[in-house]
Amino acid sequence: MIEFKDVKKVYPNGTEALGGIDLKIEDGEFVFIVGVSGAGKSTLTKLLTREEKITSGSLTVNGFDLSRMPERKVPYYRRRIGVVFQDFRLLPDMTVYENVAFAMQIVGEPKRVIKRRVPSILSIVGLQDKASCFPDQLAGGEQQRVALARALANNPATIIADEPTGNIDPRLSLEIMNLLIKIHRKNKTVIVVTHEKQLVDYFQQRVVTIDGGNIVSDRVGGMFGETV
Amino acid sequence: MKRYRISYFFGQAFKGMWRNRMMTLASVTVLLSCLIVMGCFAMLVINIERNLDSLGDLNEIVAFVDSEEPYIEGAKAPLAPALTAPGKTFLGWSTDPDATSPEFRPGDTYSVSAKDAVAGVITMYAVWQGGITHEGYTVRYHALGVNLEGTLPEDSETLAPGTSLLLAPAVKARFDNREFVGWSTDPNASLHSDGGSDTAAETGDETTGETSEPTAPVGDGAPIYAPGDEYTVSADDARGGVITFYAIWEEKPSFTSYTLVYDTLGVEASGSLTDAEVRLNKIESQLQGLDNIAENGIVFVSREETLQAEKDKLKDYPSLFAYLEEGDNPYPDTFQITYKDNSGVDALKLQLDNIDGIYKTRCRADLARNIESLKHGIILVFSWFMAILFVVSIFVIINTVKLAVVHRSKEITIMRYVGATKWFIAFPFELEGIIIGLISGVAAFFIQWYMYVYVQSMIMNQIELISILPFAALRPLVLVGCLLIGVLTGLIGSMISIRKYLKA
Ligand SMILES: Nc1ncnc2c1ncn2[C@@H]1O[C@H](COP(=O)(O)OP(=O)(O)O)[C@@H](O)[C@H]1O
Ligand SMILES: [Mg+2]
Repeated sequence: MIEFKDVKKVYPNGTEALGGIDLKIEDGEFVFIVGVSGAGKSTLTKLLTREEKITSGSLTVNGFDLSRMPERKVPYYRRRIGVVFQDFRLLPDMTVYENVAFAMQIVGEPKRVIKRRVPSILSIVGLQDKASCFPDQLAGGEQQRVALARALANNPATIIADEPTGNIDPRLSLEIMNLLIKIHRKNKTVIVVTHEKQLVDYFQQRVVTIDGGNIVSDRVGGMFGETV
Repeated sequence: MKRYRISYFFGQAFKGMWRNRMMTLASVTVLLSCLIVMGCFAMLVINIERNLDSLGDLNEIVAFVDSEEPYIEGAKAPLAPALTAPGKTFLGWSTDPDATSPEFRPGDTYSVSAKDAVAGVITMYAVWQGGITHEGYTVRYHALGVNLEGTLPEDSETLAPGTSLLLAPAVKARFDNREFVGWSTDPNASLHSDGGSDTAAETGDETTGETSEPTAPVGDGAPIYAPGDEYTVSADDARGGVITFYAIWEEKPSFTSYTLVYDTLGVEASGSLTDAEVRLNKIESQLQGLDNIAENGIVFVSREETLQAEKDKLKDYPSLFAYLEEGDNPYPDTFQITYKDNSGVDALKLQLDNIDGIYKTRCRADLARNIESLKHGIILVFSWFMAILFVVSIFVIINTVKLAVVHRSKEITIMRYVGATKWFIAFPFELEGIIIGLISGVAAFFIQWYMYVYVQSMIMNQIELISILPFAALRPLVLVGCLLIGVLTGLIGSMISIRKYLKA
């Protein structure tokens, strides 16, 4: 369960990116977060990944109290969430396989576990044939699928995707979204930040709309177009 | 328990090093030099320390003695101990060869007096019980301290009283134009009656020879005979069975320092019979009386022995050897004194300096102290030097590792997102620093080994006095030191360069 209670975020330069967010996301939910550019969506995901600390209020994720988490526990928290970025953030000198295995290596997963799990994750995202390709040999959509596979590598309970389709050919966006839905079906909480109206409308899931650092609507269905 | 693969860390570290190989090489070189300087310095100090130890441990003071220095008026001269001679009883010493009772007891101190001297020489005659009976007299000539051209006339055979003989011809001074006047049995005889008092030091003792018939009565006091004059042997002119004819010069040589000689009056006796021996014995007995002396701690080394020892040492240096071979012996007699208690050195030194005849002492502890302060100087200079080198090494390593860190900054960000712990992120870089440190340490070790053995063989061949530890004794220290300092430097440098990138 993810729970924001009156969360404010003020950046050191004085910008108030979030002005009192109250939001509750149950385990296994699928949530779209929408809003105009500069609304504070990325700030919200950064708080969830503990890249940024909340200024006030409280934020609990899967039992971790992020407002009180000591620095040294952050890595262990992050292993419990998977993050996907707009710009993929793959390591260019590692193959697809290595990029995914890397995430497991980092947490000290034994080689034999890695060997077994990586192919199965790659088959979830449909890249079992591209295991030995390097990221620059792949199309944008495929790269994002690698990123998604990496996010899944350590079997996190929550997946957070900040505009995962932002850099992808629109025709391939649906494919990524379908994957995220597929992951959601595997009983994971999935939070997707996006701009893409048609996709939001198409999937008919819970949609939280942020504007100017505040939640302006929170409902189920494709109401993206009406609120903005 | 999950395990991290070591190969991953090493792989990353070596990749980083290879990518920035020039920087890696530079940091290895700088760190290497730093370690070599440190090592050389440490080995130097250790060797100084060792030489200090061996110097200090000897507990030795060398006392330089001068047993041949002439006496001045009023100086205290130790007199020789009793003599032993078969069938004779030794009574003591006297300046008068005809004395029947001794003026001084054996071993007494004699206060040097000019009036006892003839031509700068004071003769101590042995006084024997019952005296010495002389069968006839010997005539002897004496130059009164003037260097002659040619030799003095020789002693005559034993002559009975009343026998006549012709006195020796004139002698000639060798180096100056001193005028020979004639022969006299009185060394103080003077040609000029009015000038009698200008040789004040020699006047006064005119008890002998005063009344003999004046064949050629010239001047005051004793008669002066012309060369070739006839002389009739008279018991009155004899001292200790010898009639001495002194060469009388128009201008008498004067003496301000005196030497002491012993005369047994013809008796074959055993015992120290040179002043130098007596003085050395005196010094030795005084040394024996000191407290802080180890058992058998006093060894006399004569100047001849020292000379021989030095010659042996310098055998391979022909020019130095020749200098010792040809010139006068430049070495003094010495006593090598081994003392018991190191803390009493200063007191002992003071006591030694107060002994007559010891003109200088050299203490191993002094030498040790000098070297000690030299050592402190070296430590100070090198500490600064080392601190600077150390800082430079750390900087170079920081920059080398930073290159690797910057190159992988994107990777580091990703690692952080995926939940890598700090140490996992930092370890490859720290390993890189450590490997640089290790390589430098190992290289520094072998270079120092080579250098040490080289320098050692050089010094061993040239200077025997310095003892140098074999490298084997230093090996563990140098190895551990190089590796430890190298690794630490590498680690510290890399930790500093990665620190900024570790913030979550
Ligand atoms: N690191 C930052 N420092 C200061 N201001 C920031 C920072 N990141 C974002 N902001 C500001 O916070 C507001 C929200 O930004 P962001 O969360 O990135 O919006 P969105 O992702 O919805 O476009 C914007 O006004 C942005 O300029
Ligand atoms: Mg954004």
